[in-house]
Amino acid sequence: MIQQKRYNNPIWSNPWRYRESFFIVAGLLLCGFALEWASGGTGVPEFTNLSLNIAAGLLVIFIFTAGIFFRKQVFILWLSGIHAAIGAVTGITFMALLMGLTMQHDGYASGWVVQLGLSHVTSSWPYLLILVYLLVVLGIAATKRIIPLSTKNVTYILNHLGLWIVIFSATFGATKVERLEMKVKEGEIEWQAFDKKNNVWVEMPVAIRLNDFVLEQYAPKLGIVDNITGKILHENGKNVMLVDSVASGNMLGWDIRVLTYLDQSGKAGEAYYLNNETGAAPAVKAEAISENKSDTVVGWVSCGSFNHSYEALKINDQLSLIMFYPEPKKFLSKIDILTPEGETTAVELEVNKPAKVKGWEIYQVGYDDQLGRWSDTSVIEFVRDPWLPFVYTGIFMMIAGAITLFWSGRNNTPTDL
Amino acid sequence: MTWINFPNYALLTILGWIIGMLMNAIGKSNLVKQLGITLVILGQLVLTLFLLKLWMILDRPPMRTLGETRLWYSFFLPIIGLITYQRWKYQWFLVYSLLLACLFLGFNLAYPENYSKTLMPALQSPWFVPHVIVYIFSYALLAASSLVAIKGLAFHYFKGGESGHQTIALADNLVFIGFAFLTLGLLFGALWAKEAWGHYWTWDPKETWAFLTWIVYLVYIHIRYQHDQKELWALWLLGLAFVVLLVCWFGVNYLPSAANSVHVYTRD
Repeated sequence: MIQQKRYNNPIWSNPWRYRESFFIVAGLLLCGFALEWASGGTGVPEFTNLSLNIAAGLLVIFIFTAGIFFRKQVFILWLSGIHAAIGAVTGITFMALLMGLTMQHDGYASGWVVQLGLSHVTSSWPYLLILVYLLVVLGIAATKRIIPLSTKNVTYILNHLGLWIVIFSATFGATKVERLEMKVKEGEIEWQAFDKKNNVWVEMPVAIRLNDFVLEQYAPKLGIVDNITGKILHENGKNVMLVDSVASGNMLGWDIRVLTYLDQSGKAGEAYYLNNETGAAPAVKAEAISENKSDTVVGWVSCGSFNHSYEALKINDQLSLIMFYPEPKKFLSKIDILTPEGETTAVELEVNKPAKVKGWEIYQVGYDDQLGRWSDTSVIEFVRDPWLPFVYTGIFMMIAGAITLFWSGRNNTPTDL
Repeated sequence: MTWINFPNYALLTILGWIIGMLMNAIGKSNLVKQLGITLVILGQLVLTLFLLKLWMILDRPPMRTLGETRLWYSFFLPIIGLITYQRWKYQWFLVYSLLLACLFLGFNLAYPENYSKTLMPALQSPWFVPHVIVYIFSYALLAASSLVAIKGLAFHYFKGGESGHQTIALADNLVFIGFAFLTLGLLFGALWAKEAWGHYWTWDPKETWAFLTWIVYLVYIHIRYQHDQKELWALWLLGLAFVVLLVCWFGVNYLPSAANSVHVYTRD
């Protein structure tokens, strides 16, 4: 309460505090939204490589010059202080909040939501302006702690510079990220990938030969469906039963017991038999007993596949027992990476286990959903992010910063605030 | 199919916690107080045993569904309460953290969740366990800090007095450690995302809310460094921060903006 007195001085007269800070942020956001509106909600246009590099360079030069040579200047002093910092962070929080409440997809929105950029916040003008402002504020604050360097400031530098590097590299690196999708068939070689962003086919520096695609599945699950509405009555998963070794349970008052489980089957007459042909679907012979034990229904249930129809077991007028498609447990592509120099590298590509080659990371992303485990096509993605090493540097600095913060706790007070 | 024996384990745990807590709070002699603590620890061991058993039965880390994360929450809160009690002797804090842990166990008892052994390939990663454990531990610490804030605010408005520096000092200790873990959880998530989806940050709604949560606690820390005296600001901010955290933890599931999120807890 004591500090309130200081606010009695007119706004914009020194020393600046929170009022000025929030005014500046509000002004930046207003300008940003005005620009966005004027652009018709198309967002920030893509910069050319050259202009982007110049902008990044100028920003760094400005931050260093201000932080090193003009640090005692009143405005710069304010810019590197807590008041400007809280303002900038509040601004970015505001933009993130908009992002957290609006679906980020122009296709789901229209009118003013798109025109103000609310459905594409990360490429909108207000977001860009506030982000650059945050980079300036954070950058100058960090520069002041780096020069001169002191061991007291290590935690501060790791956290602030680390964060600055992450935001800076992620922002300026965003346009350099390339993501290309490639579809390869078993036994074939592919060297072209599709760039969804620019809608073009690109020739890759390596070719991929798919030797084998493998999909492992979990056992299927049984569920109950309403005969009239066709809705699955799963009640947050309570009426879903995995067909495993203890496959019995109660669903909506019916005791369900699995009598026979066939991992792959074919139908002959009224029954199912073990069969491992392409498209052979799992099937279960199940027994359903009603609550008062008066009704017992026994029959086959199968989820079917691309070339077998499904089969439900009607247990009374309202309900039927059905089988869900088995969920994938693991899928991988056994590929050869072929270079123009004639080198061949064999790799097993799996989700969470990307491969690296010639500056590209290769990811397993999908397969032919229709065919499921019989898919002979693998969908893989090529990703290149030249700024990634910088982002990782920042991330590891922040990890180190978090550990030192944990270690020293509240007592680590930085110098010269 | 619900969790095998969960009610038995949960009731034993709650019994141990409540009786131990009462013995510790009301008991006059040191012996009774120590016995109380021992009972709390025994309750904790029962829950630990259940978690281990669940992990083995499911054959995957039990961290996928909201109910499973609530279990870990109930697991970490008493640990934080016990450590805080041993180190700083905050008895009321041990009581609150135990009650909160009971509440979350009770929630799982009232709404028994189905368990499923299936785990989608993207979640099968060495990052899964550290990412979730670090996060839930951090959430538990930050929840504890908001309890401290509520106490401080109640003191301020209803007893008309200063809540005392002790209160905010405890909040600080909890937030600083909690924030360190929150940061680690966030960064582990980014490193994992790069391995699994090809990019470290995609502004998925859960990520957006995780970022918001992170930033509100970040503001708290800055306010505490720079405006030591403004304790009321700080206490209110902690309350607000916890609301954001709750949105991030499970509120996201209900937001229209998150319809396509990869992080919405699956419920089958």
